[in-house]
Amino acid sequence: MFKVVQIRDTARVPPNKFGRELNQSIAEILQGQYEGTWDKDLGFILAIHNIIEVGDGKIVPGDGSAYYETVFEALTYLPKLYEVVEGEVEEITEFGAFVRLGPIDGLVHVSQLTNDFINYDKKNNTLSGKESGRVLKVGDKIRGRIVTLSLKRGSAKIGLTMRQPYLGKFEWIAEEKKEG
Amino acid sequence: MADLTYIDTQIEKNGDKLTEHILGQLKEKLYFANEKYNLSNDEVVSIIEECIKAYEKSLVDPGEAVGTVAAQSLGEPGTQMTLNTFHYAGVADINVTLGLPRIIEIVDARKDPNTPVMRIYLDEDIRESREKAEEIVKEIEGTTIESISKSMKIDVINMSIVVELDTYKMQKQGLTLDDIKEKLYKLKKVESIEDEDNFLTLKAGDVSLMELRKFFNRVKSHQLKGIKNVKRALIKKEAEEYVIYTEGSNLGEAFKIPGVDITRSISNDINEIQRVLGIEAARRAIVDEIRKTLEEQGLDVDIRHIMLLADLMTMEGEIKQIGRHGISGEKSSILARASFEVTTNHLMKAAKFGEIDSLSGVTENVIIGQPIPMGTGNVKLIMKK
Amino acid sequence: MLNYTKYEKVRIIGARALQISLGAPILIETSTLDPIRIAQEEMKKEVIPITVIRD
Repeated sequence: MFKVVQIRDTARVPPNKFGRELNQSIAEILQGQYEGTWDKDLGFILAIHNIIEVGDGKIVPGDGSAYYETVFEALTYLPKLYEVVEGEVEEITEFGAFVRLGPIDGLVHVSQLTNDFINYDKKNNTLSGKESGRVLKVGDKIRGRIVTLSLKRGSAKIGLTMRQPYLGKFEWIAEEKKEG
Repeated sequence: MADLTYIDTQIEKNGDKLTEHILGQLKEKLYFANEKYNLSNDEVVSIIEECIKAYEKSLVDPGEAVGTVAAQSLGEPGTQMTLNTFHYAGVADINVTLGLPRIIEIVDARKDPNTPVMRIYLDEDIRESREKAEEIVKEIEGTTIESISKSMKIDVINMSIVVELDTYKMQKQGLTLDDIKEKLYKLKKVESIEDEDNFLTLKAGDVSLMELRKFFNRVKSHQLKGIKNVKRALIKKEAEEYVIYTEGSNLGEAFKIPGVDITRSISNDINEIQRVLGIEAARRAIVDEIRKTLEEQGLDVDIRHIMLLADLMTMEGEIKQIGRHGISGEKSSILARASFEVTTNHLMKAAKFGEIDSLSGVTENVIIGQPIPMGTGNVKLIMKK
Repeated sequence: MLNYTKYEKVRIIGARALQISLGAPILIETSTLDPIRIAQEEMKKEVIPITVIRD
């Protein structure tokens, strides 16, 4: 799930960044410090975009830098088990399809694509159902549910399923709806 | 010559820059100087300005380690003091502890000082009369039966004590036979007292020889007159007046004697002063006693160091010693206490009770290697917005 | 300006000198190159962007 969260932290502004607009310096420092990192509770920190509050710049003995207590907003992504997600198929392999969920990819294993038996078409790089004739290719937009999740420091392995009602390629869902 | 009212207005104008006490002194001295040297108005102004400058220069900046400076300023002269305990101070043969032992005695707030001494002044109307002073000495000085008797012995056959009284001494102390008998009857175990010529025979009832011996010793030291704890009193003429010095101290009782000037009479027993006159008087007594002891040894220590010490010892309303059972032992920081004495005991106790050290003092921060909260270490800087 | 104590003055000049030595922009015209001297001059002209909090 994507979230915008407020974070309170101290930003260390070194003296060579002094003469400039303070908020901008702090934003740059925080971006360099946070963006692209992974936090145990917050997940992926994607962007620092709004500095809300900047406190007093404390100076400690033996360090020329000023330490500002700041409150800022950050965009984060943290996948959750059984969360319904949407994304675009990024890559097709023999064993399944990789779907881009945002900052990371999730895998839909062939066994979790449809109730059908699935064939891998090496030439066209597609996966197709034997009986239904449904085809999945790179660039298709799908909806799936996270069923396996293993979060480790800096990386996450996500397994998706589409074998549930109203899950699958957007076109398949539309068909399902029409049939009622 | 500057006008007196001009001096007044100039001083008033700077009223907020100096303390009341200094202002008063300044005014007095300006009046005097004006008379003597014919000051001009400008001179008055610049004198006041100089005073303010000197005053401000003498002030201590916040963050200054005054305690450490005071400790060093008192400790260094301590190394030069005599270790010799006794000295005859002022009056002939009154023993007073002086030098380092006396300083230690004060700082330890000892309950039983080695040589308690009182200095008793007399009321204004009798100040210059030697006879009156002698009368008061008689009231003060302790008199035992032993000191007014020619001999005392145990009569083993009759199981009694025989005292031969010295009439001359009795007269000198202003005691009559009846007085003595009355006082002796107050003793436990006294059954009968018979007098014949100048012999008193005390019977103690049915007692063994051992018990009679004990009884004899009690009779010997029984006080007939005077203030408890005071052994001797001497008169000394100081300037125009007579002052009484006593060996042994009991201010509370001394103040009850008519003719004693309670506003000036003083003891050197600080705990007694605290009991009788209160904590502020005790603080003052600590300052005076330490200063006197140092001065007597020819040492010059700024009074503010001594005042800080006295303040520290008395700030909680009772006299606390500087040491394990006082200031050092009651510090709130565990590490500070542990670094003083019995380290493991303090740490064990703190661990058992889950105490928390907030690391706000100097010692703690020295131990953990942080800047100490003193001087520059106590300044918190922030960037201006 | 606040009436700084001697300790506060020392800390301000010291902190400012360190900042200058680490590349903070200088706020006065000067010919000196010594950061401490520069900080002292800035102190004299009361342009140092540092102040003291007293609690």
